[in-house]
Amino acid sequence: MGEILLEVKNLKKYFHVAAGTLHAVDDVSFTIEEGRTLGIVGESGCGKTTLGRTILRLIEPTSGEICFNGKDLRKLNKSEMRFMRREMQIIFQDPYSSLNPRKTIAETIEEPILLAGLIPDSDKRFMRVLELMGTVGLAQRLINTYPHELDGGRRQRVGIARALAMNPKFIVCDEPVSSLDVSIQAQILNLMKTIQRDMGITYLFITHDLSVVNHFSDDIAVMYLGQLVEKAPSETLFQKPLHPYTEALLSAIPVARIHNRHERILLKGELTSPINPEPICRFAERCNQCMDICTKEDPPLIEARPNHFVACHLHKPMGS
Amino acid sequence: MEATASAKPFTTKKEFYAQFKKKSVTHELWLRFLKNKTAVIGLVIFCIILAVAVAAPWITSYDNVVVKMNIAERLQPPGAAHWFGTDELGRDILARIVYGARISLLIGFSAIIVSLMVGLVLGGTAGYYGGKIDSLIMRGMDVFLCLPDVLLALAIIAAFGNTKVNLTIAIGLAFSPKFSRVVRSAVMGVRDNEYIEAARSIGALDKRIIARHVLPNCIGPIIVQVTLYVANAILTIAALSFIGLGIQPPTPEWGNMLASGRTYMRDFPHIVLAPGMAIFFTILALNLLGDGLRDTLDPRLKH
Amino acid sequence: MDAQQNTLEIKNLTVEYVVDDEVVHAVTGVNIAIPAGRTFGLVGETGAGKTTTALSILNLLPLPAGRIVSGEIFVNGQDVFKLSPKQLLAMRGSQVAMVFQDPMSSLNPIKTVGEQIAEGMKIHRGVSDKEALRQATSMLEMVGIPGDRVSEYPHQFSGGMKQRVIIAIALACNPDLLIADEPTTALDVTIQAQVLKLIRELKEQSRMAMLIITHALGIVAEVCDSVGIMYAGRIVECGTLADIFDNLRHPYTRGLFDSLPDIENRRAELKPIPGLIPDPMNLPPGCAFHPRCSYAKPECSQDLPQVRWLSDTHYVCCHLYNETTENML
Repeated sequence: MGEILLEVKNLKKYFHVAAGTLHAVDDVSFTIEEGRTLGIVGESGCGKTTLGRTILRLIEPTSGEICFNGKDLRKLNKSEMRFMRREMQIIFQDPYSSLNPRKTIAETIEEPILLAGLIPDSDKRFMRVLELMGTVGLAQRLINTYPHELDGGRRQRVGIARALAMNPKFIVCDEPVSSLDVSIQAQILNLMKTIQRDMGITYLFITHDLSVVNHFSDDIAVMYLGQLVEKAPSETLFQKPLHPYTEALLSAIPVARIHNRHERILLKGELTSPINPEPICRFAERCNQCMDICTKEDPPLIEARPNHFVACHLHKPMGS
Repeated sequence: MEATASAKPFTTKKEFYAQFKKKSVTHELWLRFLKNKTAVIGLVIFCIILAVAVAAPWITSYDNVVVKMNIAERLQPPGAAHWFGTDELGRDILARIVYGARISLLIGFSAIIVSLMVGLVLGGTAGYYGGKIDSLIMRGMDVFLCLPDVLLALAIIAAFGNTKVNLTIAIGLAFSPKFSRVVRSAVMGVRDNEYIEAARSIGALDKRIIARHVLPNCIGPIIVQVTLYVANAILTIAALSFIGLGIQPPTPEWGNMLASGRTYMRDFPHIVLAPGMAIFFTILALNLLGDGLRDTLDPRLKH
Repeated sequence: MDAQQNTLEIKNLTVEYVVDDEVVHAVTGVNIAIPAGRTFGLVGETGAGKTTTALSILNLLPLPAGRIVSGEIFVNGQDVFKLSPKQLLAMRGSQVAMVFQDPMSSLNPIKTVGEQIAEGMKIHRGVSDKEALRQATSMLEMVGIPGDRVSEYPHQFSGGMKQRVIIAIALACNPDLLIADEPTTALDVTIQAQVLKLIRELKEQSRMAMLIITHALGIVAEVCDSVGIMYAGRIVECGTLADIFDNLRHPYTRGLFDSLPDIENRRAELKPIPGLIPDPMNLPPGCAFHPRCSYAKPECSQDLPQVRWLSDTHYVCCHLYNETTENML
């Protein structure tokens, strides 16, 4: 514990579209320690999904550094990167489209092991598949079933088993429970936590659901229109958010309670465009604490409290 | 968490697989197909035609009946001795239809297989990679798509000579652009699924992804098109033979039978009726079959 | 009931789907009553039968599979199943309006939003084109969209705004009953907050009754007056907001609340409901929830629990309450 497994520095991903340049991920930097979970939250268009895939180089970054276990991933060539993939896996959001409908779940779980050549013996490989199925709580009798015979929760377990097949150190979880029913969500989240404890995996947990991320992550980073606007340990973020967007986001969470309800902070207007954004604070237009400087300068990410980062003109760096 | 109830102790994969068999998807699809009445009719008609074509050498003799002239018996209407009558050279029309089936089906299917091979490669590459490669390939195909199938095949035959092999290749190439389109759109439909990205994330090479993940999921629309294009190919062969550029007499082919029977059509309609009906029923059967396959394989109906 | 009739009354509704010779029991014996000006939340997970219930109100079940087996539905006292197609058409849009989950596919991309809002008005109230446009503009303003956007097309609006447009269309003819099926599920949480505020305001300003279908208890807490919890086609618990949130009695309801992450207490492990949602073609015998219930008794797998009234407003369907009304959880 304490060792930094992943360090992302000034990561950018821009897309060229007809109207200009879309800043999907704009100058994002953070670190994750081994065995911890970093939650990335934000609403649609914030770039969190692109961020997850860019870190794994499933989408090629435009610029920036991705240091995994000390190695800069951008400097690796194709086959070196493929080798690296054994350590960095991904769990997808949609249990319906993330499994090949023509492969049985055994074939799907076996494929990464086969590709990596980790277990040449067919029977031993099969045992490993059964072991993985056991880890994720799938009954052995399901071994030759096709995805369409299973419900969303079980399919997601297959996706998790596939991600675990090569014994990775790091898993990007892209909204892994958003498509599932509430009672199943809890099952899958508990499973993922157990796996983390037993295997020491580091998670990057991407979601739009704040109550889930609070429960699941050690630290949380909030994204807005491609930028990282706040990052802090979960408890701190929920109790003392610094960025006005975070405050609004937290107050917007529907609470299943009829007493002690708080007044909602409602944001004005809508998201501004991520295409050719101006070098000012991208949240300025909607912010109820907007100052003059916010419409002139883009605030940098600073450490306002110990281990609590925020990009907002309302706050000054520690010690200044 | 489910109880991981295991079966009796096992040591090998084989034993385990024997206990928990894969569900047969083909069987389910077959059952669904059978519910579609018109599709079954199409299948039945097609099977009859196929059976007749295959059994041709046993039904009648090629040298003695199909090509041997028998002027004494020419232009006889359908009767006991000759069920479909005889043509202008005294040959039994039924025997000629039967052998004509062989030619049509053989060349028709072979030609489409050629198209499929070309289409899979070109369409698969264009659909999977997209971007500039896609534009390049597709614009190339567009040039050929502008020309009617018959014309393209004609050009190739005119250039390279009129043999059965050339005819097959000509028609095959003529249909390739269409097939490339079909494969390309099927591939594009599959490409954006997350399981393709998942395959990349576990380190699969593009080759493997296309072969094992993309194409197997495109089979549906491709099979449907194969059946429909075979029908088109058979029509093209008939058309070419009709104008004298396909199969040459005395080899029987429905198209050239129509051509040679043209002059006698007024007084002896049975000469053109038989090959005409043969073409009609074959195309009908293949179309019904193709539509039935499309309905059966429609992924939306599956779940 | 009371002197005034309820805007919506569903009595003993049972709906089936017949697919490939297999029968799906989508809804069984459902009773709902919504007086004017009140909002009822129908809560359940996938396959519970909530959407089917809603579609039945306007006789919008997909044919030929959907079949209303028994039951009655009264809107403003009229028996919906006895209406002629013409009368039914007249009812849809003017007395009853429906808002669906996905704003993307609910709007016609080739008509301006103004035209779509005005359409209902012209059909049901015979308003002239000019007047309809004027009213459409004010409807947009009412849902918080600048009136001058009335001649824009749906693709020019964001997700949240599209949902507001859909609400405007639904409200254009002043319906007595609004049915909203997961109205905010597809929206971001901050936009959801805006739309929920809008719904609350509409509630306060009009005498419109609302049926809100959702799986999110947080939304129910925000906008509903009474709640019905659905499981496997039946309502297993029903009562006022206070009955359900402060005084719940059914084990499934308890399970639903327990599986939500508690913002106050992040360390606690989530308590999911074990097992899976039952297959509607193959429901367990007796109480459909018994395989997953930690309070299950022998009779739960044999007999269907009957409706037990715990108070004037609160009832539950569970064998735990056959003898008593005390909290058994």
